Amino acid sequence: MSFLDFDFTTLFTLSNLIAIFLGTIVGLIIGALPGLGATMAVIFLLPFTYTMDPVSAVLLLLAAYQAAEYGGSISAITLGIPGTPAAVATAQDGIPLARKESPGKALGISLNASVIGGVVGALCLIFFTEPFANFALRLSDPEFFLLGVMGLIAVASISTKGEMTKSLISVVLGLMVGTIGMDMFTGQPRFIMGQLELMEGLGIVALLIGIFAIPEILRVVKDDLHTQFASQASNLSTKLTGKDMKRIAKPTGVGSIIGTISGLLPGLGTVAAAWFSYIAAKKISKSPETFGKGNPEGIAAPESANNASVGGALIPLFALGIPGSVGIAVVMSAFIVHGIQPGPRIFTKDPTLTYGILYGFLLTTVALYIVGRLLTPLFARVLVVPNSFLMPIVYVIAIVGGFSATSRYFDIWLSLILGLISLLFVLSRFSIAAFVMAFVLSPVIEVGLRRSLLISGGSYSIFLTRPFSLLFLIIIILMLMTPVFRKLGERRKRNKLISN
Amino acid sequence: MKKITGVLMLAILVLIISACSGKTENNSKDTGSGEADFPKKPITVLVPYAPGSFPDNSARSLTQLAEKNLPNNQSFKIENVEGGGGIIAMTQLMNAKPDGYTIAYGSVSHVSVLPHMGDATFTHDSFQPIMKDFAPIPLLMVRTDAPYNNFDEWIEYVKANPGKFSYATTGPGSISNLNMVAVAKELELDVKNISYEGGSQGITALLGKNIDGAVVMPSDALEHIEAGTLKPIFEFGQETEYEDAKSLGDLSLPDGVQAFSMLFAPKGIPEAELGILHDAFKKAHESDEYKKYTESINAKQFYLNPEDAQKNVTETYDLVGELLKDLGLID
Amino acid sequence: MNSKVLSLVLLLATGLIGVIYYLSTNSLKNLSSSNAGEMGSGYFPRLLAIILIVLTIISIIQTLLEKESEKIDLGNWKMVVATLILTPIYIFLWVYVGYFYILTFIFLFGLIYIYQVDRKSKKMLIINAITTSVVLVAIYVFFGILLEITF
Repeated sequence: MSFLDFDFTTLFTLSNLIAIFLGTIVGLIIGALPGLGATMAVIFLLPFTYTMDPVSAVLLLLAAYQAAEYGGSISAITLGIPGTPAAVATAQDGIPLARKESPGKALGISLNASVIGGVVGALCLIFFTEPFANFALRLSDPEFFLLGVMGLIAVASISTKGEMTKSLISVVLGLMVGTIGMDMFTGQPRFIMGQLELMEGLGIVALLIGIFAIPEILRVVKDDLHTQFASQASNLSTKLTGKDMKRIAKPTGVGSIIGTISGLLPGLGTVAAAWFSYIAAKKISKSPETFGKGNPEGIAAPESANNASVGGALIPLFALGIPGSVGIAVVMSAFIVHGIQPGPRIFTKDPTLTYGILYGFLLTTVALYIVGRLLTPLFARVLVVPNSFLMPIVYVIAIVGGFSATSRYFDIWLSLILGLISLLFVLSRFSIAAFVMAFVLSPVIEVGLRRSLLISGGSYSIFLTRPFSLLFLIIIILMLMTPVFRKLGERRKRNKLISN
Repeated sequence: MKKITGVLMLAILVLIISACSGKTENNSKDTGSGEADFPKKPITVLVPYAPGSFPDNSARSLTQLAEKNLPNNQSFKIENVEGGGGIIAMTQLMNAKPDGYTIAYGSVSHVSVLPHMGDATFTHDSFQPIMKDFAPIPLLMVRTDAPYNNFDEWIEYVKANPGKFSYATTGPGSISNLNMVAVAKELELDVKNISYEGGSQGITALLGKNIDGAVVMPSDALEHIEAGTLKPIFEFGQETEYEDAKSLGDLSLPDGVQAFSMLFAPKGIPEAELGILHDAFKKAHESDEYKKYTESINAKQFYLNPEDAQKNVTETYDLVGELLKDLGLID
Repeated sequence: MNSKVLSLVLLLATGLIGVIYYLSTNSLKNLSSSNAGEMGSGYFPRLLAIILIVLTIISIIQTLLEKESEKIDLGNWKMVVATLILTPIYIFLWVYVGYFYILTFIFLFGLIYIYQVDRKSKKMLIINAITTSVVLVAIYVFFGILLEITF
């Protein structure tokens, strides 16, 4: 059976449609809560799927995953608090656009880009599973290490103007915090300061709430307590003009492709996808100087990328039985509970079910668009609430949400302490975005480097002999050289002016 | 007004979801034992793993079935306590009142490995085992296009190329690692351990030809065996059904470190409570439904009663101690 | 407080963290069974610590050389301090006393109350009470019932 022979009536059943729409709604809400992302959405919904039929169960989870990736941008844009690590990139331009122009427009761009990214990811999953999976297998530790380094250079390059050293310090601090926990290669705990809760590393939810939600809330309390973000409801419409759509077409396309490919790679996933496409969009943009000041292209690229990465992360699951991200690993356990073993033979063994899930996944993007159009204005409406009401509510929800992720009181204390420290660092213009990116990439970089050298027996030539590794190395060198070239070019221009 | 609509929406959502999930209470519980003294309230089962993980699924499947065998229509309540590789959950169990209302679904690593590492305040006999559940038997996987076709040829290859054969495990001190180290020591093989975050990451690296082998649990391997890309050449159990593979039994080697799951109660739990819990779990363990579940995750059932389970834990603890010393992980 | 002083304090703290972090790598040991190419669990952290200390020193020098120093706008600092004092008390009571929903109600109501310009307004108190109740019900429905979290 090929994908065209699929009997679509088996997909459009009431239970499947309910599952998709419910998953989308719940995923959107969880994603929009500060700190809680797609992984938490899937974990929370997993127990409900045990009693459902297999296709509905998997679609419920995938819909939630898809919607949560978009939901993360809602709190980033409306409140300035990124709901997921990937939304940190969205926030770069999302916040300025929402504050200066219109929150509705920023959300509309995010929604449209997310949906397009989701569709591209789903189409790649349906049509190109095999080539993508084979490509993914060619990338291993040396490539992951280099991609991780690329990510760091990318995020450091968009640092606060004139504060390069401080951004670099943020990067190193992020890498250091990322080393906390058990060292995989020796089984030894590192830097856990006697706290067993830190053995598996700092929880990402507690970290995000600590460094984004709490300092931002306190900052608003400090500066803007007696105002409200938006006063006119007209600013909240998520409708986009044709001109807007045309403008974001290119960055969305780029983001979708980068997102799908990054999704294939475990560990890098959505965060790297969002930043790489942000940088790429800036490079190809006609007005790169407005990036970071509310350029719609800077929202479209990372948002399309993080949704495209969902489809990307599913490719290794269907082709090889290997989940491409933590969230997808939880989805995989829903497959297994229902007696389905994802892997190379799933297409021949269970074709109706497999194509049902694949097409259903495409349907989740449609649901995302519909639900997004209906719910987003409601979320945007919170901006009409005066800050003296809104901030305490967001604060309490952030604390409660952070606790719900692990049910550990330790994590609340951790968030609070991190929040206080981050507030001081934000005031002193250190880059929190660089810190988070480095934290997420720290294990990718360290493990990638150590395992590469372990496999090669200590020889660094492993980075030169593999084709993709060599390619990434060249890209890194070019990235590092760009500022030098630019400086040289400026000097030549100046010399010309002087000699003239 | 907007807020009220929001709450209404949430409420409707909840109703629909609870209707869909079909969580109707099972009223056909066994109440034949009349008014028993235990249990009088729900029993908390500590699960030292993340929700949605494999051991978590197993714990949920087993307790769901065992619930039907509890007197007084009582139930089990799963509580996921992550952190410290399980130390936090097991410490919580150790400090819990031994009244039968707090138990844990632990594994070999909690009672036989962690106590060696120095971070845990408990040791192998700090708990009262209720029942040994099941264990998956690890496999050594290689690619089907490798220069060796079966176990004997592999041994020849490894002996001829010392230090060259690299294999994935989930890190020093992990079950996959300890099993391979024990066999390599017995057979005097010079092979190279490469640590990965999990079984599937090891399989990925093996498929991508970055390493030569992977010691994984069958659930990670089966799809690739059937697809013909990978095959097992060694099974870390007493027998094997795979053609090109050998087992510990074939080479007359002693048992390795079994990756068993076990139910634990705090030490000092009264005999009667222990008996009720044990019977409830044993009945569930032996049910056809649970047998089907263990088969679906490619594990084997290894029921042991509380006494034998403790013996099993102690033996494994001693064996792991020796292996960890050889690895240099402990002094 | 001005930005220069804050930067210096934070940089000194960061440098100190670097030193402590470096020293604590000494307790990490290498495996006797390790293979060629294994760089050990301390190598990467030590490298990071050294880079951090170097960067901190550079940044301290840069900060000292800066001529102008802007004053940090403290804004409603009293509210920030109040929030930072109330939060640990709230969490402490939640952890050790319980009654999550009652406590959260008081905490949220209290925060909204102290954030108001006109605290005596009856209308505000009523709006506050209604808002807080609605949020609490939403938390109960979404987290308590739907996601089955026990607080």
